[in-house]
Amino acid sequence: MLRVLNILLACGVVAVAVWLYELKYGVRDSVAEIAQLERAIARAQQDLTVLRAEWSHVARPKRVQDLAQRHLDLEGVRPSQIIEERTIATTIPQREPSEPVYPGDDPIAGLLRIDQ
Amino acid sequence: MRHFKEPYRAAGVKPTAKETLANVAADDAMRRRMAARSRIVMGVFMLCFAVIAVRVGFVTLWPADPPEVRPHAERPDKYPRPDIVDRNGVVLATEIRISSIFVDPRKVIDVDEAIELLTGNLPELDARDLRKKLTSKRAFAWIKREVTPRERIRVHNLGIPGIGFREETLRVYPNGRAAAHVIGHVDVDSRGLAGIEKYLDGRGSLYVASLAEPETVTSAPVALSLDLRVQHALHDELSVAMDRFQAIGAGGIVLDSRSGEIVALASLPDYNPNDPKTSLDEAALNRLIAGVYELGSTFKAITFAMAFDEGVATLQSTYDATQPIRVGSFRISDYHAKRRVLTVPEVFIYSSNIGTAKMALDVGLEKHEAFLTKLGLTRRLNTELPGRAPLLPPQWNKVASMTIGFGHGISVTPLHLATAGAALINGGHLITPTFLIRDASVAMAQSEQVISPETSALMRHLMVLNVSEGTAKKAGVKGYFVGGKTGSAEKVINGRYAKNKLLTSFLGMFPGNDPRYVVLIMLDEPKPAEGTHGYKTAGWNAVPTAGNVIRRIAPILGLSPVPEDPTEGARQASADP
Repeated sequence: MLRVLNILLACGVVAVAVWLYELKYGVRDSVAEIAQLERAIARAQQDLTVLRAEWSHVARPKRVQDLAQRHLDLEGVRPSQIIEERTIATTIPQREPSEPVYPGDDPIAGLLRIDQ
Repeated sequence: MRHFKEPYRAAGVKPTAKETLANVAADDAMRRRMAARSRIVMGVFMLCFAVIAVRVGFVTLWPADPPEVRPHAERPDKYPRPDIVDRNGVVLATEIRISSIFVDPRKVIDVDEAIELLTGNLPELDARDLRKKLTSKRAFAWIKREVTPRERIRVHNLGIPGIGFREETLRVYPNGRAAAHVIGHVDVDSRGLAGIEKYLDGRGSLYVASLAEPETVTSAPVALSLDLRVQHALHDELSVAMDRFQAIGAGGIVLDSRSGEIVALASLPDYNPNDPKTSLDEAALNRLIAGVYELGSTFKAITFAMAFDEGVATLQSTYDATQPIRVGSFRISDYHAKRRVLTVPEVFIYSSNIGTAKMALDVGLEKHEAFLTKLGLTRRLNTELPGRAPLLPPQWNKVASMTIGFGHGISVTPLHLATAGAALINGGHLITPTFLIRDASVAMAQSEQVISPETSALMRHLMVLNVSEGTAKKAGVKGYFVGGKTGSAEKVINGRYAKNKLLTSFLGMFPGNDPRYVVLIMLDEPKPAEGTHGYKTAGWNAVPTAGNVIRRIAPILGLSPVPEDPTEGARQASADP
């Protein structure tokens, strides 16, 4: 009876030892993984800050204005061009729903062709 | 252990034969048992070694990923500064991490080799300077600050002993000059030196830290009342005007008269906060907050409001402007002289000094001083940025009262005038301006009623009338009923008025049918330009500039033009309480 118990206990000890070993190394791996993820998060956040600053820099109104003046034929908006939502229907004439605006089967290709 | 049930025996007593036989049998059984045990133990050990051997085999054949190798760097021990964003969340100031290279000269083994390697990889380093650093007795010297990540890796891979990296934070202002005077800048140690940056430090590091989230080492941004789009439009138009009229300076404010929020504020010349060295000269001066000026005729709007509010004048009152006023050696005359009796609206739109001076006299010295004090024009204006106290006349007498009536003899900051102007048009509520987001209801609750709503309505009427018929016609923007008052003040140079050096200004508001925004434009020493017929007064420079600004910013501020004729707007403004 006692022998069986002993064997069981011995097996138990071994099992617990193995479990503890697994657990300990599992924890160590998890800690390493957490640290790595935290580093990755911090790095991503830093990159995000840099990208946001960069976006703010390239999209700054001064630059956009300079580019628009150099490459586009657009002028500044005049107050007379601004209408309120409720007057859209009466201000913009309705277009005849007859001919497709851009020729061909593919409207986008037609649009591109016209713009070129 | 029942197998060792041997009876106790005293030492030296011989066992019997029967006992000996039993012992032999027991010994034999025990030996077998022992052998079995050692086999078990050996087996267990073999198993263990087998496991280890297999594991070693695995590790040898399929090695684990090598651990990540990163150049070591010390982390900054400061709290991060919060980002600064505009009212729409656009980044105005942020912080990026950047490395700097330093050296501990005591640890450098071969100075010549180190110099050769460093100058080979960082060509902008000066070899002689570097040698001085590497041979010094100190324990620390910067090699190069703010290097790019690529340079950092390259220098790290050189493996020179004694070379280290320190991660630093660099404050960057992606929009450059656009809002330099409001945001300010920081020094190399991230201390705020000017503008909102200084204000944040003044609130204490605790305040800055309270915005920080310790977990992620990020912090909540500080939202300003500025709108970058409006700010850019103002800055751009001012730059154009300064260039066109060859002015030595320019300034502009867009103020929300209902909440006191400063939507845009630009002072030229300005500097690039990313390169604060340029801020050492006069460009560092924020003319609108830290400069005081005799603003001239724009100040008349205040005198008119006072006369209406004290009940000494109505729209029907008349003032005789046929003769200049003489008080002792002092002579007051009109620039746009009409030499006749003028009604109150005419005094306003022809900007008559004589009429306004008489108006101020009618109110009386004490009431005049009290009214200016009530409007906050005699004390420092407390916003987030340090303001400058007004320069008041040495004594209040008749001459002082008359000249102050038309804006001379008292020097205030342009922001003072804009704040008072907001109270003139918003129904009489004096609201301290702010650079931070503020709700209109909160602002109204904190405001002080300084003039009656009726007086405010009269002022709106006069201002709109002045743009539609008076000196400020060029500020008109169709659909927005712009109103305003011009001013062309001779500058005081060495205690005397310089005839040919003007400070021109325009205090405007829009939309006239439901006034919301105050626009103040100021040009310092504008010259005549093409198309101004030799004039350099406000009507030819500050006023059209204001018109351009309003034309650009009104749609951005979400205002739709009202398709009606301007006189209709003037009538509406006066009817509107």
